[in-house]
Amino acid sequence: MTTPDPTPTRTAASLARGVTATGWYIATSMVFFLLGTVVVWGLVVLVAREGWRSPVALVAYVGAAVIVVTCTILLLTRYRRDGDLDDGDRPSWRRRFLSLPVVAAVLASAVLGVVAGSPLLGAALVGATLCLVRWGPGIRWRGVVLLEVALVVLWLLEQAGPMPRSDAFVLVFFSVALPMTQALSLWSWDVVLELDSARRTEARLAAVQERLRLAGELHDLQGHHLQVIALQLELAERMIHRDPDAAARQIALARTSVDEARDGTRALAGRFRGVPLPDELANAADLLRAAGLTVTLDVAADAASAPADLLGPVIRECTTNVLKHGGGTWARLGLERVGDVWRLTMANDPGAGSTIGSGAGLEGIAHRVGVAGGDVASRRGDDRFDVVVTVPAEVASVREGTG
Amino acid sequence: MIRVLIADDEDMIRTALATLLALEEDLEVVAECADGETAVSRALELRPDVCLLDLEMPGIDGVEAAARIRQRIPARCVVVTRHARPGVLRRALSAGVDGFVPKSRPAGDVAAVIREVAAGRRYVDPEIAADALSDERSPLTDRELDVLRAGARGETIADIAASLHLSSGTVRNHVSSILGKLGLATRQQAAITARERGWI
Repeated sequence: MTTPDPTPTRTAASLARGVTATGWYIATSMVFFLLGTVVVWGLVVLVAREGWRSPVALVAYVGAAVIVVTCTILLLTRYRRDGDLDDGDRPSWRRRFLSLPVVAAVLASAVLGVVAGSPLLGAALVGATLCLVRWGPGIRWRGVVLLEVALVVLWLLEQAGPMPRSDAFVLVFFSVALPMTQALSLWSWDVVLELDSARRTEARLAAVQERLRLAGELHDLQGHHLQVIALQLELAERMIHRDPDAAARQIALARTSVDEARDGTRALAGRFRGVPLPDELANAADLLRAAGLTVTLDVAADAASAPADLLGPVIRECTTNVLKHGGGTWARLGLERVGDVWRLTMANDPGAGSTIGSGAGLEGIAHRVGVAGGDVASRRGDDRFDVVVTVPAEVASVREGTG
Repeated sequence: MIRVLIADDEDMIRTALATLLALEEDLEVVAECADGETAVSRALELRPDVCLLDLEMPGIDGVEAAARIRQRIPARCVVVTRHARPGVLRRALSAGVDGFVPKSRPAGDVAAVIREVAAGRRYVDPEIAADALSDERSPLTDRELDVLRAGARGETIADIAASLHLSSGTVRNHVSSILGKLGLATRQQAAITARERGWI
């Protein structure tokens, strides 16, 4: 796996936050526009014109309005969720329309239309609800255009009727604009998500290109070594009868070439690996648990900024030791910041007959840590083995600054 | 004498390794098998001291074969691999595998590991351990992994919901969150990614 550069990662994170914020902004404005429509109609028709005359009507109006708004919020969450899924995973067509929020919102919209005495309001709210259902491509905007025409016709019919309710401009404006606003908002939301997914594809493409480059380098490396090995073996074959000792030397050389090729391949692949220190510790804990040990893991929250190139090898060496020698029952791993040093502690109970603590592997590490101004201390007790590594925290920040 | 069973589907490697190990004075190769099922049945029949199992074999893999052998007889198992995929070491350790060696080790080293393991010790190669420690961590929750696992063979949302006793809506919520975290477009891609990285 490639380890992404820190700068693009940060940009990616802030872009992802931006996309989420845009989503919230659009959803909130949609809900507020709906609320505005319902409140304005309520105020003008029920309060200003009828002056609170019918408490039943008022209760029905408020109740139905609450249902419509709640269902709209539910449908928006569902719309957002289904946007992530591919077509096969989305609900079936029947389920999209015959689901509780859609049916409840349509019925409540009808109630609002009846209570307010205006088919225009009812139709506008039903239309706005249907906009929130995920339609096939190109269906929604055609539907909205037809709906807008129908709403205007409905308004004209209402004006010609005996009791025109929607005679104030503000009422007509809100009713006619509502479905269109909802549809346009969802459309812009979809566009934002499309752009976001294009951005992610681009990031993946960069990773793939990096891998292709790696494959090329690998090809060159292996090709070179294979050629050398072939020559050495050919030489050995020619000499095997005349000079068996020299032939044996060539075979030994060929084996060395094989090792070189293998190390080179590993080093190349290793450039693309590497995880943050807390992940490495968590992996170590997982492995030790899988090996049957009881593991306590105690990692500071900001441990990702500890110097991984110094502490990583210690974790690897100690974990391998515990796994290799086995027999123990518990292990404790900890990484904390004490003042201006990072302290990594690893403790376990070596099983009987274990040779742990002979510490050949730790010596090399101790040298590197010492050069960086840190210290490695290991202590073998009767029933426990402790390794404590301290590294100055500045090492980390210097590396980050220059790297 | 340590009695050894070797299982590897690559004939050349298996034959060469068997010949080289037979040169060691204290090792006796009692069986050579070309796949996991044969290895299990031969192991139960011959009761070797140590089974040397290739990880990548057709049918059941080395770790699975080791688990089945360990259930029935007290043979020690060593898994050999060319390239340890993430999560394999964890799975092998849980299955009770006693040794894990890369194929790149010379036969002399493999013989030494066989002796270690036969003496009751465990051997995990440092290279493999280092690889396992630098595995990418899964950003997914256990429930999300359950959803991916239940849908790994192309099951529908309704199938997954039924097998996990969840509602379809909840399963869709999980899938949406999985795709968001991994930045992928489909559930199938997510399942492939999770399998490649050893999360499921």
